[in-house]
Amino acid sequence: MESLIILLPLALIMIALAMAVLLWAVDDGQFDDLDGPAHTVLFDEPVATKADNSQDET
Amino acid sequence: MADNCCFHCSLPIDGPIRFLANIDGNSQPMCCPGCQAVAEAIVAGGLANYYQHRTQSATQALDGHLLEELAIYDRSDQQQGFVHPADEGYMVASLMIDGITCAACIWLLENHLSALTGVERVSVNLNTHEAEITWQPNLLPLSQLMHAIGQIGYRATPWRIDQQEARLKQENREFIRRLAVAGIGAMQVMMYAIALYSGAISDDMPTIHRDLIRIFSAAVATPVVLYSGAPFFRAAWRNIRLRHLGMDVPVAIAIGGAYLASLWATFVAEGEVYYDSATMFTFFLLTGRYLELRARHATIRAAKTLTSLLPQSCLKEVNGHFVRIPVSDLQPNDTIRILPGDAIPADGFLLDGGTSVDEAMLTGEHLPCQKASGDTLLCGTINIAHPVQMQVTQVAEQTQLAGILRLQRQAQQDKPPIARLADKVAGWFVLFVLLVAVAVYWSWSVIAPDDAFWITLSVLVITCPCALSLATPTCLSAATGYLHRLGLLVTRSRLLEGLHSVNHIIFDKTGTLTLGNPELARVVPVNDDAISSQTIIHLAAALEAHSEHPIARAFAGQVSDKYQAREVRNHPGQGIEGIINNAHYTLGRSDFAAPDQHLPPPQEQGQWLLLARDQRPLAWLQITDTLRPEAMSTIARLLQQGKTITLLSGDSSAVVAATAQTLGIRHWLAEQRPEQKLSYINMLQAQGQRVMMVGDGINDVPVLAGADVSIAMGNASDLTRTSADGVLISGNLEHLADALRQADRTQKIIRQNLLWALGYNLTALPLAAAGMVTPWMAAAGMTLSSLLVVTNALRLGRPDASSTGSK
Repeated sequence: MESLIILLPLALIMIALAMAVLLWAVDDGQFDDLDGPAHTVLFDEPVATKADNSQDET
Repeated sequence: MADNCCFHCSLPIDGPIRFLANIDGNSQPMCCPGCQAVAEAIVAGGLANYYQHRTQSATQALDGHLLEELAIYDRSDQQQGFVHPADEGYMVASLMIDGITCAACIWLLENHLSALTGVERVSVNLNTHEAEITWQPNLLPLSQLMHAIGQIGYRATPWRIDQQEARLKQENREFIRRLAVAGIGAMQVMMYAIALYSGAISDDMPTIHRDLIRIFSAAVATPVVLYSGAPFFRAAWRNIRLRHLGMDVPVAIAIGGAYLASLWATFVAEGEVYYDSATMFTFFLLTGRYLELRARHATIRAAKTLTSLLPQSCLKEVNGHFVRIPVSDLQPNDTIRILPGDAIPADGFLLDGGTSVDEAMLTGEHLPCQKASGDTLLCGTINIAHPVQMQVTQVAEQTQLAGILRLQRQAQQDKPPIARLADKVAGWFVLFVLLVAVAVYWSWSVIAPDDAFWITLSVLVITCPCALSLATPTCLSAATGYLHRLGLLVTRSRLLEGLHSVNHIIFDKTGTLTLGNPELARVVPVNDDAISSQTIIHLAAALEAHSEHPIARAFAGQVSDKYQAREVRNHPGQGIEGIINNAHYTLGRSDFAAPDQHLPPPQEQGQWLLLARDQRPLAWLQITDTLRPEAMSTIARLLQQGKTITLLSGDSSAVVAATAQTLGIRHWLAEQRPEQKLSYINMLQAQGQRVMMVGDGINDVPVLAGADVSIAMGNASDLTRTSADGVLISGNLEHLADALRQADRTQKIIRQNLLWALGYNLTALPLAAAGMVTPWMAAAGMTLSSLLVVTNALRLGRPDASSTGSK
């Protein structure tokens, strides 16, 4: 049970890190739009290939 | 897809298909040249995939701004507030985009704009419809950028972050921050708690380990309770000061009590710790509050996009001509021209003639107010009757409107009435719990004084109204989201509750049950005068050019340079008069246009307008308007739901009777003026009926405001949309019947939830009072009851199984 002495503070450090990352993400504006990115990621296609690509497709 | 629907905006197409666009090799029908141009621009940009990605059809192509109009935004003084410099010659512009319906719109906008030379980065927010564009102004002027947005069917306006928007953003971030701390903290405390539970159950954990884990639990729980839980303590303190027992009081007692008692137990190394319950309470309750906050923000934003009552530009007199300038350039002492239907952009006074003005927004008086020369005109009120000139005295933040908007924002913070029910329940609940707690403490201090404190604490923890306070916000949030997906935008929170109690529905005809695209069908001269039909049409068009009435659309594009109307006056519900080439013309109902003659229209069927010169009838004009395709089935469904339906219209009896008969509506009233409509509604309300009004025109505004619940059609004028509780963006009447059913379900599920939550608390209470509840039971019971309530509420986000089954 001596491992507790190491594991308990370790858990504390890890959640402190997790909280710091989340708080940074909030301040970075990553939570400002909760609906849009969920959809856009599905149909993002490279912009550069547009005009010529549509002709190659059958 | 049916052939007669626009491929771009899904609106039905009347008559033959006149416009086509080539999409992925197929010719697709288009309803108007606007949609055609937009579809072609989308395909030309290689973005035809938009049509596969989209989940909602687009809005009909909006009338874009002309490039000349947009050119004012190239001036750097006009860019103040929404354009900011970024590094290396780049600028960032914030634009508000009108016409976004689903995530595919965002894909389309981002890809279309990124393809332009000079544009570096585009990001569009689906929630707020705000676009942030980073671009090089020396390669591409801002006006071109905004024009490009117009080309694909959207409309861009500058997004100046006002105080309110900044506060919403701040509030949102603050809440997510608290949620993050509470969520992560609660998970970690729960991990420690499981070790403690298993130790307590098998009863073989060394005290030293137990105390060590308790100390670490305390360390993690402290920021959760003190930072994330702070809003509850603040609200509870406010409640106590106001001597009002709300939901926050028992919540604060449970969280605070559990935390402080656990700290004490940790310190003296005996008793029980409730860190897990305290942190999970905080997290769950915050989740409920966050849902409430999101629904409220969505309503505020929806109301805000609609309440942009002030026009962006206005007509200012410069050297005898009227020039369009941005409202922000307006100065005191300027002379401006206000067309009927336009909002007045500043405070000032009337210079010439007379008109009537709708001041409902400021005074709550729904009948138009007569104004004569020299009278005060207030910013935000709407000119209804005639084009007039005014002199500006006060602009922007000095206007009375600005003051009233500040008050309105405070009112929007109010909870919807339905949420107050939960608060009322909470008041009694707190009182009850506190009395029970006192009784429990008193009786246990007689039986077993050592256990009295811990048992009383377990009573307080188990009665934390976690599920109770989650019951309503989750339901409202899920139901509002569902209505939004149906295309019914909720702009006032009272809508859901109001819909539930409605038993009488009143429809306007033109634009509501019909498509509102009136067409000129026939011209029948009264006498065999030498006037040609074409001249008659030009004369009528010259008059109607000054009107916002839906009928005016039938004459759009028929205006000729030879005929210009002056001193035009609108008479709502009757007609329009004006002077053309020094003769006095009237157009409208026959008793208005030529009151002395009592002419019957050439035919009973259809809607006929009479055009008269100096009270001498010239010709009849027939206007036709087609019914919305889904009108018939909707009326049938509403009747089936047991609602009374009335058709209330300003049109002539023959037309209204025919429409009512086609649709199976038994009650109808024709030739109603707005004030008659309003008094009809007041009469129904006096009989105890709950009235819902569905309308679209300016003449419906007093009626919409007077009804218990009001819904404006999506194509309604700005004023109409702002005075309604909801806006049917989809324009599909079927969704009204769905919304009514949804409102009923919402009420039912809220009541179920309140009952379950109360039931759980009351069953657990005697167990806790008997001293039989341990910390792990308290945590499990609380979690299960909350999950049950949330799951039940989430059913509202899905369509009702029985509604699809019955079709």
